[in-house]
Amino acid sequence: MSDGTPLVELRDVHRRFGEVRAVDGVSFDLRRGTACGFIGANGAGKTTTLRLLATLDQPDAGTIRIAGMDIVDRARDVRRLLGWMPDNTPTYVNATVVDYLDFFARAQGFRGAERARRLDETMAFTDLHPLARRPLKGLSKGQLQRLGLARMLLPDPQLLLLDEPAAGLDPKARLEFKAAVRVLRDQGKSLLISSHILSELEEMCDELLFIDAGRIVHQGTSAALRRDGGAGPAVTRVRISLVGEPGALAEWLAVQAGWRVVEALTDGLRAEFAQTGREALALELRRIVGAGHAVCGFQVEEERLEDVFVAVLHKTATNGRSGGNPPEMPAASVPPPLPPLS
Amino acid sequence: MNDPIPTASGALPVHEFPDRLGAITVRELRAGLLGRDMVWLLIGVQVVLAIAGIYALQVSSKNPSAAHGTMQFAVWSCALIGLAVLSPLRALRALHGDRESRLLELLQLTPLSAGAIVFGKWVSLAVQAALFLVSLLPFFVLRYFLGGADLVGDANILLILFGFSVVAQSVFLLVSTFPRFMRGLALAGLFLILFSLLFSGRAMSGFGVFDALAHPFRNEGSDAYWILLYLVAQFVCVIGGSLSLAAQMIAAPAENYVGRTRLWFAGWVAVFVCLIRTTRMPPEWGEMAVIALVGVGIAAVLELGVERRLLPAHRPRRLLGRPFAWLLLPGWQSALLFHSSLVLALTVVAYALDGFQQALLVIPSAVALVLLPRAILVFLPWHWFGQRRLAPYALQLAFALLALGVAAGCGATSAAPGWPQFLPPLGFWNGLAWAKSGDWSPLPGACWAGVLLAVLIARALIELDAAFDEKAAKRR
Repeated sequence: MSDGTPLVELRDVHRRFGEVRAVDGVSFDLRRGTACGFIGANGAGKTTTLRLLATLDQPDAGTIRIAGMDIVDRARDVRRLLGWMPDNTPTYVNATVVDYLDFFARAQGFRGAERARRLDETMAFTDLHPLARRPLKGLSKGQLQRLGLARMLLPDPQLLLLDEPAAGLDPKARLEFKAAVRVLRDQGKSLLISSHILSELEEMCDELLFIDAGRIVHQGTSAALRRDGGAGPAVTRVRISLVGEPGALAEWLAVQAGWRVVEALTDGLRAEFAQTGREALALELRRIVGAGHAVCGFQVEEERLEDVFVAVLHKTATNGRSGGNPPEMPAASVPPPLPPLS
Repeated sequence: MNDPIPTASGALPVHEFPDRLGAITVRELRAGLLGRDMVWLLIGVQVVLAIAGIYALQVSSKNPSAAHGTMQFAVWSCALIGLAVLSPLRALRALHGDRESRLLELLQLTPLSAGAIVFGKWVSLAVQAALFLVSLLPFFVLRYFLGGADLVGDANILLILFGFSVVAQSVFLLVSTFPRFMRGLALAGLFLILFSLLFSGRAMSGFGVFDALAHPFRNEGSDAYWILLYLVAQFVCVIGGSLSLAAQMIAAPAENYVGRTRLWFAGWVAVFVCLIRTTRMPPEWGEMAVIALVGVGIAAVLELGVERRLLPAHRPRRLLGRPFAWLLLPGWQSALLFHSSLVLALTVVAYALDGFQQALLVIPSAVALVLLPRAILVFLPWHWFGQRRLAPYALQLAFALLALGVAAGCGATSAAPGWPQFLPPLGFWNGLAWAKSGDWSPLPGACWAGVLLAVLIARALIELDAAFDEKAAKRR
C-alpha cells in the first residue's frame, strides 16, 4: 500500500566509467507500495542506476537512501530490504530448481521448517512446484524468469528491482509475469521495473520514470506524461476506418484546417485533430461522411506511450541544443489507493 | 527431525545437520562430491593403487624389496599428485565461474559476507582433499605387510602434505578471482618456481627436510614444539591472507577494504621471522629478511595489481579519522605506506641482529619489490616510449639487460646456487650484492635474464609485426 513516504531517495547521483557518464545527476523518489516503470534507450543508464540501488555499485557523487539508510554506509541493512532480479537469471550448471532455491534460502539464513515453508510459498507463488526436480539447464526463458522471481522473493523484500524482466518472454509468460507484478504491488511491495515494452509498463506501473543519457527527463503517471510530454492537451488522435482505400481521405484531410495525418493503415488512417471537444469531433465526422468518404469506424485514441517517449526525448534534445535546462520534472502525482491484500 | 515437511511439491526435505553448516559449504560439498572430476579422481586412484597392491602382493614372496618399492612409489605418487597438484588446481576455478555468470552478485545481496563465501568454498575444497587422503590410508597400511612402513613418520608427512594442499588451495582460490590473463600469470609463476626448485637441486635436498619433519622431536628436540607451532601458524597466516584478499576481490564496493589482508601478511612475516630464528635456517638474518621480503613483495604486487585492475578504490567512512587508518585503507598510497613500513621494520631487525652489511642487501630488495611495481604502473611516462603498448616490454628489456650485465660482471663463483636466487626478481636485483658476499652464484640470474631477454625480444617482434599489420590494414 502506498503511504506517500519515499522508500527510495536519490539525490544528484553521478556514476562515471572512464569518460562515459552513465548516471549524470539523477534525482528521484520512489514511494512505498508503488510500482514504477523505468524507461530508457539502451545505454541510457537504467541498469547502472538499478545496480547502484542494489548496492552492487557505488555512486561517484550524490546520495542514495533506502528506507532512510545510506546505501554506502549501511549496505548490509539496505540489502535486507531489497530484492534484485538481473536481466538474465544466473544459475548453477548441475542444480535442480529446488536445489537452487534451497541454496538461496540457506544463504538468506532460513533454517529447518522455516526454510521449507519459505520455499513452498515462493514456489507456489511462481508456480514452480511442477518443475521442482527439473535441472536448470533445461528450463525455458520464462521458467528461468519465474525461478529468478522466486529467488528474489525468498527473503520477502520490501523493494524489488527488476532489470528487463520481460525481455525475451513469450506472450503467455508475459501475462503471467504481469499478473505476478500486480499481486506483489497489491501486497504493498515497491517495485522499480526497467523495460523497453512501454505499453506493458503502463499496465503494471503506477508511475513512469524516463531516463536519457544518464539524466531523468520525466517522472509521473502515464496520464501526466501524456499531458506534459505528448502531442499536447489540445490535440485529439483518432483512428478512422474506411471501406476501401484511405488515400482519398488522406488527401482530403491534408487540406482541411486543424487536421494532420499521422499514419496510413491498411483499412484506414490515424490522424490528429487540433480540438478536443466531443461536439467538435461529431461535427468533423459529419463533414468527412458528407464529403463522400465511406467511414465504417471512428475511434478516439489515447496517445501511444512510445510516441510520448520519443516526444519527451525530442524535447529534451531540443532543450539541450538550445542551451536550456532539461524540462522541469512535474510533481509526481499520488496514485489512487490500491485494493486490500487478497 | 529429518522427516520431510509436507508441502505442495511433497519434496522439500528438512535436514538438521546441513543446517549447521554454512550455505556455501553445503552447496559446494554437494556439487563437488557429485562432480565428475572428483568421482573419476577417487575411482582412478583406487584402481591404480589396487593394481599396484595386487602386483606387489604377487611379487612379495620372490622379491620383497621390489614389492615394497612398488607400493611405496604408487602411494606416494598418488598422494603427491592428488594433494599437491590436483586438489589445488580444482580451486583454480572455484570463484571464476560464479563471478563470470554473475552468481556472486546474487550472493552479495544475501546476508552472506564475501568472507563467508570464500571460506565456505575453501572448507569444501579442504574437506574433499581430506576425503581423498582418507581414501589412500588403506594402501598406506597395506605397505606394513609388504616390507614394513614407518607409520608415524608417514602420518606426519601426510599431515604436512595435507597442510600444503589446503594452503595451496587458498592461494589458488585467490587466483581464481583474477581475470584470465592474471590466472595464467599465476600458473606460469607456479611452474617457474617448481622448475627452479627442480633444476637447482633443492628438490632432492628438500627430502632431507621432509625426513626431519617426519620425526621432528627426534631431530629437533624441544625446539620441535615451536617449529610445529610456527609451521601451523604460517599455514594459518597464508590461508587467512589469501582468503581475505580473495574476499576483497569479490566483495561489493561498499565492503571492499584491505585491513584484514594486511594484518594477515604482517602476521605471516612475524611468524616467518620466529621460525627462521628457531630453526637457524638460513643462518644469516639478512638472508632471512630478504626471503621474507619475497612474501611481502608478492602481497604488495598482488594488492596493487589487483586494485589497479579490478577494484574501485573505496574508503569506508567509518575508518576515516581513526588513528592508523592509513594502514587499513585501500588505495596505492596506503598500500605503499603499509608495505614500506613492514620492509623498514624488517630492515631494522636485520641491522640490529646481523650488522649493517646485510641490512644494505635488504634495501635494494625493498625498493625493487615494493616501490618498483607502483613506479612502473603509475609514474613512468609511457609516452616517452612512443608506442604505449610496447612500453612495458621496453622496460622489462632494460631490466633484463641490466641483470645480464650485473650477472656477467660478477663472474662465476664456485658456490652452488640456492633456490631463492632463482626467484625473479631477486635473481636480478640482488645478483651483485649476493655475488659479492661470496656465497651466491650469479648463474641463475644470468639464466633467467637470458631466457627473459629471448622471450621479450620475441614478444616485441610479434607485437611490432601485429602493429604493422594493423597499420597496413587501416591504410587499405
